[in-house]
Amino acid sequence: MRAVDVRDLRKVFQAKRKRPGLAGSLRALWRPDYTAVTAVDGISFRLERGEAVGFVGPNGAGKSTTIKMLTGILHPTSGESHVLGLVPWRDRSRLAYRIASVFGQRSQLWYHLPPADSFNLLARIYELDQRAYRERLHRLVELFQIDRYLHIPVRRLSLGERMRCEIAGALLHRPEVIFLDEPTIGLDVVARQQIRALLRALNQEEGVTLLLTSHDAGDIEQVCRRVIVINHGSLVFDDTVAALKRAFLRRKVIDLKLAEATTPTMPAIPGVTAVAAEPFRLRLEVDADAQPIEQVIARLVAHCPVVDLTVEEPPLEEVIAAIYAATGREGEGARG
Amino acid sequence: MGGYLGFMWTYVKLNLSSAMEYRAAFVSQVVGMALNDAIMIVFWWLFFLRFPEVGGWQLADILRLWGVLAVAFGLATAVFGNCSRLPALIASGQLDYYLALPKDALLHVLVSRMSVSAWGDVTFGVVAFVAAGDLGVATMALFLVLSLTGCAIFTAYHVLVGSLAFWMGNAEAVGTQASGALVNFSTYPGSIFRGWVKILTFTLIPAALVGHVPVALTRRFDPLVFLGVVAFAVGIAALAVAVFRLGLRRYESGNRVTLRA
Repeated sequence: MRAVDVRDLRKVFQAKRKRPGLAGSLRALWRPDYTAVTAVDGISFRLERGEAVGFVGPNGAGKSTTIKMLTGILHPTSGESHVLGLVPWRDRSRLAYRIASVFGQRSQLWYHLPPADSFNLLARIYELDQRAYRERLHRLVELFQIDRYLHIPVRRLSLGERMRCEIAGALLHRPEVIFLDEPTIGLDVVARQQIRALLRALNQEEGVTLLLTSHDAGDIEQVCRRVIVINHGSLVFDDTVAALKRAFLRRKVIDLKLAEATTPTMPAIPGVTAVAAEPFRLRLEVDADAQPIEQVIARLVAHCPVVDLTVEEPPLEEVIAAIYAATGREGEGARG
Repeated sequence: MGGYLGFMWTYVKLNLSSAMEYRAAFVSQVVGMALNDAIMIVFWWLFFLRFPEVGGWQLADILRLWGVLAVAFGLATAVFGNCSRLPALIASGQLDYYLALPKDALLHVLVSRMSVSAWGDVTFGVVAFVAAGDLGVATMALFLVLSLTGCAIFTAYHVLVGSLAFWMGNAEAVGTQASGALVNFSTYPGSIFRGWVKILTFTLIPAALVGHVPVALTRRFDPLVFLGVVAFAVGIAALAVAVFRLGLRRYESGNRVTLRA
């Protein structure tokens, strides 16, 4: 049995259209004008058990709407979907015992109470056996290192600490599939790394299937092996993260810190252009198709007094823009 | 059933714990609401000093009326505290959290919030009913059952009106007006209503079934009328659940940032 099986899933919302100003409002009151907005436009994909898949796209691409249909929150307009063999909107309650969803911008922890109280409530909601619950909580507290925060009101926790508790809470009932919608939003670099490491461990050690949406390329690269890209509610890419990089991450940026204030004269390397030159610093853009990055670095180190060197990949937004360009699709979608 | 009662009890404890984090606010809300209710009784007491009765009702009847009403309304908004916020929750797409969890979404959304001041209503209601006299076991048992049927009617009525948001989008104003009408009609002696207004208080605005009829039952018990009240409470609760579930198919979610405060 597959973890997730989606076939030709579609969701159309009816949105009211109104001309600007009071006159437009009066007109809409008398004769409302509705227009169909397609949030998800016939997407199909499958997730095998134990997969960690990135689900990306710009704001309004239809990511959240898809996740809401897969968790049974929304009814689709048409199409089929099975999660762990169940139809989400028909078997919502049964499915809820076997899946979990974590929304970075929606907290399930009680703001004025310590996480321990929220965990006890979740144990009651999922009807967990008290002994099994205690054992599971103990394991998660160790894994997420949240023993220090268990009895502190949530309002006094940092966002990173809170998010660790959020994810721990979502795992109490041992879900087989987890839908994560922007779990690292607003977190600092350290907290992001911690969340990514935890998600990796969860996927590898417990075999939990992950469907992760994020605008941060690092989340997808470090947690997922496969990535699905959607735009305008349609699927535009579905392959491994490595394939995504090969296909679309051609451009890299090399940032050099130099030992000397004077900017060296650059050797002529095909596919390499200087985008910024300052005292002690040089920034270069490399077309990896024209010149392998290793060769570029070797020649730079040989030619310039390099103190430090970093290779940056373009942000995911740029990669996605490249996918749209390649598939002839551009612009903003309708709804997230 | 036992599981759901335990689930509700867990929420009551959690809501109380959350409210008690701010001790002064908690005490002032409970005491303030009890005093607010008591002031209404003072007005009625002054009224009855000048007029012996109104439509056959005396001060003891008013005390029983406010007793049953305050406990019923208090329990509805204390235990099912989100009932009055349902239109806003639906319109702003805040049902997602409850829909992603295994418990019944309607019950879950209702119990997940508590109006702290409602415990002031409950406290006042018990004191008012006791002050009316006749503290026999049968009368007190009847008071308890009628308070529970009243609580069911208040809650179901709010759910029915609140569920209009699934179709209307914004039903907050309608909800506030309907809630106000139910409370206002039920706080006056039933005998003053005649004709179509009386019919209204037994149907669209079931004020008679949460106030006047329970008081009549505590004065003179009639098993048929009692069964009628219980049947109405069960019926309106079933209708509310059905309408909410029907509306859920039209639910459009939302993207608000939310915290469980």
